[in-house]
Amino acid sequence: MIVFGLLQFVVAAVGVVIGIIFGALPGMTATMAIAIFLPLTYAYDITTSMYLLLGLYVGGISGGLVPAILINIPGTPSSITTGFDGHPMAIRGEGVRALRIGIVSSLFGGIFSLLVLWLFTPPLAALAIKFSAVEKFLIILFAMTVIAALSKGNMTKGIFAGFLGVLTALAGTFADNQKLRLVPSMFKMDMLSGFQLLPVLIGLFAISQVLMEAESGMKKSIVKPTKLGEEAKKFKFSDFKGQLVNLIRSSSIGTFIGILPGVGGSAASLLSYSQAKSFSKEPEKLGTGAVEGLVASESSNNGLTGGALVPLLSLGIPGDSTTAVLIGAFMLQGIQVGPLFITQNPGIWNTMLFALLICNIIMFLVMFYPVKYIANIIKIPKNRLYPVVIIMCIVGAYASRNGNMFDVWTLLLFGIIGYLFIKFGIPVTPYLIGFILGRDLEKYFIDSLKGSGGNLSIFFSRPIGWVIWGLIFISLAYAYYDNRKAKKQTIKV
Amino acid sequence: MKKVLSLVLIMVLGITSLVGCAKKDEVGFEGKRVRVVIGSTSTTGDSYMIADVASRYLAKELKSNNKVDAIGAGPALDAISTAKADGSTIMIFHDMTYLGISFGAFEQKYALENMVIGPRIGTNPGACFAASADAPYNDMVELCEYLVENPTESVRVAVEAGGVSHIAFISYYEWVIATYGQEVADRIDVVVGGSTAEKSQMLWDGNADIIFADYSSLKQYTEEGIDAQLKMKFVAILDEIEGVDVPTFAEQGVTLNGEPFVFSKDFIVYLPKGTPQELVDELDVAVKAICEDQAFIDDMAKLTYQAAYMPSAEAKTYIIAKRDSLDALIKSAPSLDDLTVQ
Amino acid sequence: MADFFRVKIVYSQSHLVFPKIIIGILIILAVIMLLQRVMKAKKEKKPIISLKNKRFFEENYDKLKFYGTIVLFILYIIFMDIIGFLTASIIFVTLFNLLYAATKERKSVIVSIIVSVVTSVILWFIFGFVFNVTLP
Repeated sequence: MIVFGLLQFVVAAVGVVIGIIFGALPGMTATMAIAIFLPLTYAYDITTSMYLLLGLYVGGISGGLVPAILINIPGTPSSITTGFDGHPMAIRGEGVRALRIGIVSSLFGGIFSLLVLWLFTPPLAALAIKFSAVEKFLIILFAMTVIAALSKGNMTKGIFAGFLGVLTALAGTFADNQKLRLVPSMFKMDMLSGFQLLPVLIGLFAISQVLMEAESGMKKSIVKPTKLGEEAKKFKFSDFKGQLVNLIRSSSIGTFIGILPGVGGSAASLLSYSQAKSFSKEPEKLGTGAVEGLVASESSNNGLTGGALVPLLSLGIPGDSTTAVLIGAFMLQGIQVGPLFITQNPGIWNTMLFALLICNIIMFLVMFYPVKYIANIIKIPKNRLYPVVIIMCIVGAYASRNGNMFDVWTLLLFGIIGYLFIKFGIPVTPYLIGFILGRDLEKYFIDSLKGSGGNLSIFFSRPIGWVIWGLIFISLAYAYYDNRKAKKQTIKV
Repeated sequence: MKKVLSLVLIMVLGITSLVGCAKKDEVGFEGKRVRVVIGSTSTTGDSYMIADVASRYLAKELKSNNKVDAIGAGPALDAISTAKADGSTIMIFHDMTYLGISFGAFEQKYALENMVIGPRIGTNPGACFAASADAPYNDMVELCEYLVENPTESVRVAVEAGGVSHIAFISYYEWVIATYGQEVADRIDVVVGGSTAEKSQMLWDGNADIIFADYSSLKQYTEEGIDAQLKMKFVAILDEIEGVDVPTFAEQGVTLNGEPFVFSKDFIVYLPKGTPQELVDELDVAVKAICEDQAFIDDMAKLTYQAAYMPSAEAKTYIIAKRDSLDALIKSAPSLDDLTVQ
Repeated sequence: MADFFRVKIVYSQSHLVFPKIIIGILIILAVIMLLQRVMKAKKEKKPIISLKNKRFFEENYDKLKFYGTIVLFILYIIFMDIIGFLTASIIFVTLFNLLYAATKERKSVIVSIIVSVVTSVILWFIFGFVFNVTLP
């Protein structure tokens, strides 16, 4: 039943390695890797193609943790939260430890979601259709509460930055009526679809950082070369003691967000991060290099992989942007993914499950041991590292929409905006989160109202909705309490 | 120091001249890197599929290195109006090329007159309307009768604004007004939807009664063994598809200005203004050759598309006539403000 | 009252509904932030805005590197369009390296050039050539 041989193994390994490279380069994503390799799969049969494409998918999602931890630049949108705790650890000289914790968490998330995909696909698909625009709007709103949780000590400012991000995301054409808004007429053609996520993301994180460093003269490397390996804490599997609940919770959140079509993947790691914080015994340590935060972020974004395949293989509807590209591989081979897929193609289905397992294991093996050497990136002097970062960002930005120079200008623009934000004390991360979720927030808001004839009570009239409202309020109340506590502490000091 | 610098300079020059070599100014596609832009950002839609299959076959015929870039309608129109007219950038796209301008989404400078129209590669006749399997009507005519019999009922049709589905809907709407009167037509509302996946979900969660999509993408939901919650049925297709037994608009008697309404998407190669005729001729020969290649025909058929070569000169008059007739329809149609549910 | 809970979605105006709501929220938040600031200033008997002891750039900031980065970046983008990705990258990555290293030592200059040629060629080769990604 399961197709597997040397060719498949080699193809899977190649896929994983290339995926990791794409994930690790700022501006390159798993989606892009799959899109590039799609035409090549024409030469193989569907099962062999699956090894390659799933390898790219797993590798691409996992690779993002490397730059997030080492140089605080998320390689992919779903690894934003990885840097919150991963990078402080790297600065403390625990780069290798942080990377390995991230990799183990990724493996856990990947295997967890695979089990869910294998065992529960039909019932979960039935559940996914029950989530209409209203529930999706509320879930995205819930993901936005992470902003409140993140801006400890200055909540109003954080929320302001978040909504500013939402507003920025709205610039461009509104899909429903094809009309432009918030765009200067000069840039009408360039900004039809607004600012693109990837150039904005790497602009805000990478280019602004380059500017900050340029201002201070770019003198040192990120950590003192001596620090690594000597005083550093070593990775031990006992680091995961007490993390089992966190691992399962975060992987479940990731998988669930993956199952919901049309709710972007980055919502997954944001939600699990804020939940890890709410449930933590020492929430104040998150953001300063706590294992918990890193575990939550990485297990959830890999938990996404299996989840996103659930609606794809059972409804014919992709769970995220990467699996949307994956449909193309099936179409090129003349195979329909949808409600009949599993019963009609048991061989392909079983092979896909097996391929996903193999790819996760390969990902672990390929990353776990070599990170010892990769971690040395942070020892490179900044004046040599940053020019390379710049050129990679430019390639990534340009390639994000298959060659559009405007995206490179976007990169620079948001680099400067990110720099100004830091200078004026406006938090960048809430702004970015608002930007990422803004479009979906609008879409489901308008769709809900279209369905109800404009009646706002629609948001309070559905049982699943009430549950999410409950979660939103708990999350907000907790953040408010946390915020007060933080404020009081600063006053005492 | 100087030695190093000059060495580097030589290297730079060497590499650039190598790169330059590939782009020699000879007229012709042979050995060139050809960027094939399409007006969609999706790599699963019919635009990408046809462009991908066609450019793979064309690459063999033209001996060029083709690369499909899914950049979206705006950027594609912009690329084709600013690119060098040397065959290094071409566009393969369907009727949205002019419909975007007809609906006012894009400026006149992107009109068909400002590009060179190449040969037609194929058509996608697969546009269809589908409803839930348990809907009390089986085609678009029965739908009207159902509305006549049940004066309190109304139906919601999910279409995409400014696209082929918009055209299909307004032609149907005009026909309903002419045949059954304004009162019945008023009870057919539009809900604006996005991708096929989104529209399917609207049907499933009860936010739409009829959706417009591609035949091939919905076919599986109509088959035996599908959950009642997901099951759909086709109520109309816009043009004959080989081997498919669903009544077309024409067969149901839906007419536009007395003529049966038929619509297929035409996939045509578009080139920048000023492209030399030699290049267009070369494309004509190549497209003709692939459309006679059984392997290409089969590959297209597998995706329910048709290989349908039409020489560039013919394609030009054909597509401009098609645009002009649709322009008239668009001008006379009521605005979506009135058609959507309020 | 019932009307208060309705947001009418008119198709041709639907693109403006959400931006208006967000701008509204932003204005409210801005007012709240201003009030917080005023109250805090009153409590601590300080003026509302004090520019004293505040500076935009850090002390003795590296003017050359800072403005150099922005200028080089802009020129890089412009030149990429004119002379192509590979040539522009080799030249500008070298310039970035020279700018940041800020020494005229022979060894450092050589390193700069080697770094830039190697990265540019590798990126160009892998993405532009092997993966067929469209590069400028």
